[in-house]
Amino acid sequence: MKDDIDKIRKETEEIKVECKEKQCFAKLVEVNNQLKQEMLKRKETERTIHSRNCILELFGKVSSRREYLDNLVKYLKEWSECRCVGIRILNEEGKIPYESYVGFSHDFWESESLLSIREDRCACIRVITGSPQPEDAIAMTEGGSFRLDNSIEFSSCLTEKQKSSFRYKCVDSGFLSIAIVPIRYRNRIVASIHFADENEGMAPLEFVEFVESLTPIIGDGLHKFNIEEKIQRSNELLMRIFDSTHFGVAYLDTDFNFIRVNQAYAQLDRQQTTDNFIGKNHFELYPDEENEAIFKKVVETGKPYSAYAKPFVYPKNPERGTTYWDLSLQPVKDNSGEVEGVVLCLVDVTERKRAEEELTKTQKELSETKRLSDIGMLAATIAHELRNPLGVIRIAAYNIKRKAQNPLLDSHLANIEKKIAECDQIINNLLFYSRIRSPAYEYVQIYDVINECIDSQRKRFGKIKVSIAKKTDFLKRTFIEADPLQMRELFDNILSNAFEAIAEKKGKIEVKSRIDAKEGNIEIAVSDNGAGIEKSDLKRIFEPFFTTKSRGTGLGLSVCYHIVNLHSGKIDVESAKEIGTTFTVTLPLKRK
Amino acid sequence: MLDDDQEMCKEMSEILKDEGYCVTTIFDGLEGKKLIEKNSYDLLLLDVKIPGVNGLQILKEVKEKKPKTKVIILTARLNADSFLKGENVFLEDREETLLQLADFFITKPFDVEALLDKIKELIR
Repeated sequence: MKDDIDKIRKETEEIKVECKEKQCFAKLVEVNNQLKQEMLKRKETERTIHSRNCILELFGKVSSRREYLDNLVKYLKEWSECRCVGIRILNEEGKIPYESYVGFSHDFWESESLLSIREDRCACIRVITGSPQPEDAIAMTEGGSFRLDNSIEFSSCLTEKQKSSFRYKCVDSGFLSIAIVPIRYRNRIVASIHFADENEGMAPLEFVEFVESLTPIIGDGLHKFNIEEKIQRSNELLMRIFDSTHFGVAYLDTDFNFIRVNQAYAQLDRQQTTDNFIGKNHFELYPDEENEAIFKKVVETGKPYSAYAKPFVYPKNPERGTTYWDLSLQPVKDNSGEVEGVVLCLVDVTERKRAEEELTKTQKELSETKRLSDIGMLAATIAHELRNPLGVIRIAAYNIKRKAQNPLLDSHLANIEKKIAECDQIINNLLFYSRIRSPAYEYVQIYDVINECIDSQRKRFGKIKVSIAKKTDFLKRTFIEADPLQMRELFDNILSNAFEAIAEKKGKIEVKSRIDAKEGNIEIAVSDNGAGIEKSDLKRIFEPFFTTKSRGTGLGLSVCYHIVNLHSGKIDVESAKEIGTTFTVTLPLKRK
Repeated sequence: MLDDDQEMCKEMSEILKDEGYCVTTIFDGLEGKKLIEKNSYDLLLLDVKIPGVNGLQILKEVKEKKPKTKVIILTARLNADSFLKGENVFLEDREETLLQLADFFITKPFDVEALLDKIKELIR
């Protein structure tokens, strides 16, 4: 009995142990299951974190929206079981083109990219507009995605009316598995991800939910690249405007180092490119103390500066001459109002300035012409008014001589005659001056004209001993197109001046000539070794009525100047006191 | 001789009379015009600018009505030389044409001998 009891006890114990073991095992299984679950969850979380990280890393890795989308599609393809993945972006025109995709055929991509949310009807449009219809309900997830394990099965459940809400492009292309996941940015759907595969059940709910969990950061990324692209486009536009303006623009820091210049600015200084300026100092390139003071004042006071037709000489290229610029200097201030740079705007107005000068010159010439015509009228009046009494004086003197028949009066009467002749000459000069007008062109043998002038002046200044050296023989066969009378007047005046300059002493006059065939000009220089002209007078000798002589109207050289000008030539003078003077006349061989 | 300058007329007529010419001097334009119409002169010494009448107009009429009368124009307005060269800016075209009708013209102050020679030549 005892043995039995012991046996039973033992068995009971064994049973107890067995039970405990079984309980333990069940617990173990349960724990094990929990662990498995947790591991799966953790894996899921890790996967999500990894995927998020991949997407986030893209922000730093890629530089354009296109690149971002391409990489995104690549990752999504890796993470899904589907053969085809694409991303549609809702654009401003209401179209939803695939901006990046893998797996889809080109034809599929082309026809699908034309879809419009305004005109077309299909699940993909309703996902991206966030407006699912009852017929979609069975396929919709909580996150707003549309998901099918078997598209044919799905469509077979639809009524005919419902069927019209779909385009069947995916079904026709043979895709059984379809998933469309919306991408949101701040609660607004901006794009969608499409998964498609010919096999059944390739886009399970868990996967779609996983993708849904990623879409907020995808949306952020899209937004970031959209903004970047917009900024870049507007930057490019600004740069295009900056570079295509015709005036030079430069942005300088407060020490006047170039930060940026536009094309026009670079071209202002020949052979420079925009890059050549960057980092260089404005006043090292173009030293100008006056301008530097102006620039500094703008930085110090924060007040803009502008100037019109400011003259400037390139210190390194003085041969460019004086150029004129409209200049504006605008301070650029930071948020606190401190000047952080200056914008320099330059417009080359040299041409305009020259035109203005030309205009002023023409106006001056015009008023001079007007003055001349006034003088002409005056001269005509004076001529008449004076010539009449002079005429009477002359006849009266003739009568005195005739009647008195007294040799004692002869010298006095001769003096009267002489002075009458001088008065007449002054009147003639005035008249000639007032009569200068457009040349009557003829072919003139200039050699003969010069010789005639020399002869007549020699006669006039007979008493003065002058040797004349002529180096004009080669001109004998040269004809120029000119007004013969004016040529005569021109050289008469120049030679007469030469004779007068050497008045008292023994002198030498040299006439030289040269033909510049290239320019089509003839140059005739008349030099004397006479008194010379004071430097201060040189500028004025061509002005009418300017004279340093005790006699004369001061019109001779003015007449010369006008004659030469009318022939489109020029007259230059070089002179040194007590050494002599050279007048050089340059005339075109052919009428211009 | 028709000239509004009385001294001119006086001085000149003395010379001409001494040279043996029969001279009438008139210094009033209208009176001169009448006399010229009435009488036949061998030669007229005519000033261009006479108050009341135009010397050139008289020249035209004389040449039309009495073509035998020679006319010498005495002028202070232009240089005879430059006129001959085709230069003149103070005459209008019409005046220029009229001036061509004259037998001779001479600019004041003129050389008396030269004028006398010309007169002799014209009414030989």
